[in-house]
Amino acid sequence: MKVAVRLLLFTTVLVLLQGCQVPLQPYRLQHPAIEIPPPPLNGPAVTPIKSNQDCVAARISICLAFIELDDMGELWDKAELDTALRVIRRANQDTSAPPVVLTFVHGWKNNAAPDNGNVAGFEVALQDVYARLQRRRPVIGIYIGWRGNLIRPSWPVAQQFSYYNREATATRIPSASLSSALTEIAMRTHENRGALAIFIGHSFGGLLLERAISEMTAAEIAKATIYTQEAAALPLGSAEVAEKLRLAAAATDARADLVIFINPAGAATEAKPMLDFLVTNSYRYQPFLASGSPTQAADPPGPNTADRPLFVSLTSTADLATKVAVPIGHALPSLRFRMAGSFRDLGSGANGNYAISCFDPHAPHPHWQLRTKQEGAVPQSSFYMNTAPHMQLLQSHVMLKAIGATQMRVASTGQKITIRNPQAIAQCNRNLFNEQHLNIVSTFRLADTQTCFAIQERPNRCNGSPYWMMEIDPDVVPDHSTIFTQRFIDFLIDTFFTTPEGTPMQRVSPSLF
Amino acid sequence: MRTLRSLIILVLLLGGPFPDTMHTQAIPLSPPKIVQVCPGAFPTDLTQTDCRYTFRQRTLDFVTGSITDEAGLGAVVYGLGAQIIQSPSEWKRTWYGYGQRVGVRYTQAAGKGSAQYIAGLIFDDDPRFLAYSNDPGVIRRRQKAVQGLAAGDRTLDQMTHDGWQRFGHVWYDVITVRRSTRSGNGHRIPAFSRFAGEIAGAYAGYPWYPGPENKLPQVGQRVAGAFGTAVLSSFWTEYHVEVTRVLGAILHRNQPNGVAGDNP
Repeated sequence: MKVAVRLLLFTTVLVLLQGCQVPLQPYRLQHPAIEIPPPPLNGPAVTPIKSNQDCVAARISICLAFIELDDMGELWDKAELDTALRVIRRANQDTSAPPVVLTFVHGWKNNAAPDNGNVAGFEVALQDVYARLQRRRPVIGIYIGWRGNLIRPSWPVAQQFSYYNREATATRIPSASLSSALTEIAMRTHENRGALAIFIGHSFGGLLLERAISEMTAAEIAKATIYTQEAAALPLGSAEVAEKLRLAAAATDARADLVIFINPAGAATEAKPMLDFLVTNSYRYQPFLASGSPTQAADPPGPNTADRPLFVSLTSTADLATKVAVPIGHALPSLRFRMAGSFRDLGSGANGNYAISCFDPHAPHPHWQLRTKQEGAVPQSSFYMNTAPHMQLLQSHVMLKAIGATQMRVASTGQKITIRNPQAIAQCNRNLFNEQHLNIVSTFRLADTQTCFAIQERPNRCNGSPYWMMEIDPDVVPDHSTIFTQRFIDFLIDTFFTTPEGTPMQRVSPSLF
Repeated sequence: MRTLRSLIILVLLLGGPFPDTMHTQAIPLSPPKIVQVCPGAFPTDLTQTDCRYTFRQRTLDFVTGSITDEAGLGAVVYGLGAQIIQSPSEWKRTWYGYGQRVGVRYTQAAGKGSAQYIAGLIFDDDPRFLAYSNDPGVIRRRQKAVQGLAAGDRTLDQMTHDGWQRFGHVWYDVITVRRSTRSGNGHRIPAFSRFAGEIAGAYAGYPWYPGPENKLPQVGQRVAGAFGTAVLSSFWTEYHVEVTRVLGAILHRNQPNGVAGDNP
């Protein structure tokens, strides 16, 4: 009898535990691309958006397509990808209004289910972007769904323990399926020369995205560089030059115009190889401003005005998940790496002579190396224990927030900077800030509070590459998960897609050089 | 040198194969329209515009707080505390005694959650706590105060963020709840669901506790204890920013300032 009771208890517990798991399944095979209604002209947007209307018409303002992957990184159904590509092609037909294609990879505890918070958030974010673009450019969202949520929300404690499991999955998924899908998205988008392909990854989605695109992006950049160099070595006007340039342009079109990692939960070791590639090759990226364009001519003097990021890694100073939980989560695996002697150290020794390569095109000597702790170098293990934008060594920019008529505060350090001209803050004007030689790249205001923020090139930075990294103020992103906000979207648009005159930048010269 | 060559190529690129890119007209950006969000939500959070405490959310809160692992973890931790101080004294400090302490706490959580869930459904309330500054009622009063503010008066901030008002609001938020509405501005009603939950939770331990623990004063103590937990939650909602700031200052007191932001 006792044995029977125990067996019954054991079976019940097993059934209960099984029931707490989110099944491995696709959610969007029936409706792989849905139409999102434009936000109402007057009155607040209504959330959640309930739409099962397929995107079929040629002229659609906002469309959301889904591409889902299983735990092993295979596509659930290639038809989803084909549908997404068809949607982009249809939107590209109108060359007077090139579309903006935003591809989003969600993170831990999310998936592509209709009731998922990230799906709802992405939908309203697409609406907001569409409204900010004057409702003139179609906005296409592509939601990359994976099984980020292993345990149902009704088991919140068990859900926390799925960290390692889901981190391993986010590391496993990036493979030929996803990389080729992202390449196809970029290439299809750029069939319209003015269309923008933007990839965004959040949390573990950042880790997943970085792994999926790093290799192919580096390869395409390298190809474009080689073709461009070969063309430059040939006599001008020859057919061979045109062919080389065509190949270079094709390689450039095969990658995104901008990749944004938001509160990425991957170790900085994931970002380091790409950063090294950009740094050692002295790459610069000025995709929006043509040489001698009126926009550039209106810029204040200084070399920093046209340089833009190809990669942006942003993290909130109040994001405890990446600031605290990631180092804790990586402590045990780090021990394993240490025991195997996998990390390189500073100084001499068996694993020694580790050095950090620095590059800043705006510095008097653009290249140098950090080798000792005194110089600011850190051992390789530090990159594994931290996320990239939380590492001061890797930060390329800092965010300043106005805290008074003549004072700005650095988000990452809390340090205060006195602004000599109060009009700079009052008008939130980059040119006025730069009269004080602050190297302000852009400014923006929060629409709801009118607080002025500025993005400054980090003084004495090691990373001046097109891989921007910075910590951002909690007034813009308050924690790890609250990212679908008007404040954050405004910050992204004003900082990365807007000229100092307030007009959207155009995709003109997308090659790195 | 490579840069110069690249620039030449870029100019060629722009002037040659893709002339259409240069003629794409720049469209000015629309000024953002501010969205109204639920009380307590992060400003402009686009996902927080429907503030109803939905059936789904209420059920999820009930299941996590009273049935699944969070309820179990609470019982295990608080049961351990009771084991250490040997409460009630009739239960020995053995594994069996610990099992009883965990079991009674789990049963109480289930009883409390069930009663609160049912009463909440009946009254369609929203029991989530709000900080004083986020309370729609307070915001309404602030707006009125702005209209009546004359030169030389105390500032609005002084009028509305008085320490005692915040302290009082903590208690007010415990004994009342808002009706669930889309705007989050539902009128206040007594927190029947919370009271029902505390009482049901205290009585749910009846079958477990030894006889002397089931007298009215002891049950009353358990109700008061459960009520104290609600008060603590409300305090945390009101003062967590200050608490976090103090803790942060203590934890980081020996850390040097970073170099970022040095004035060039």
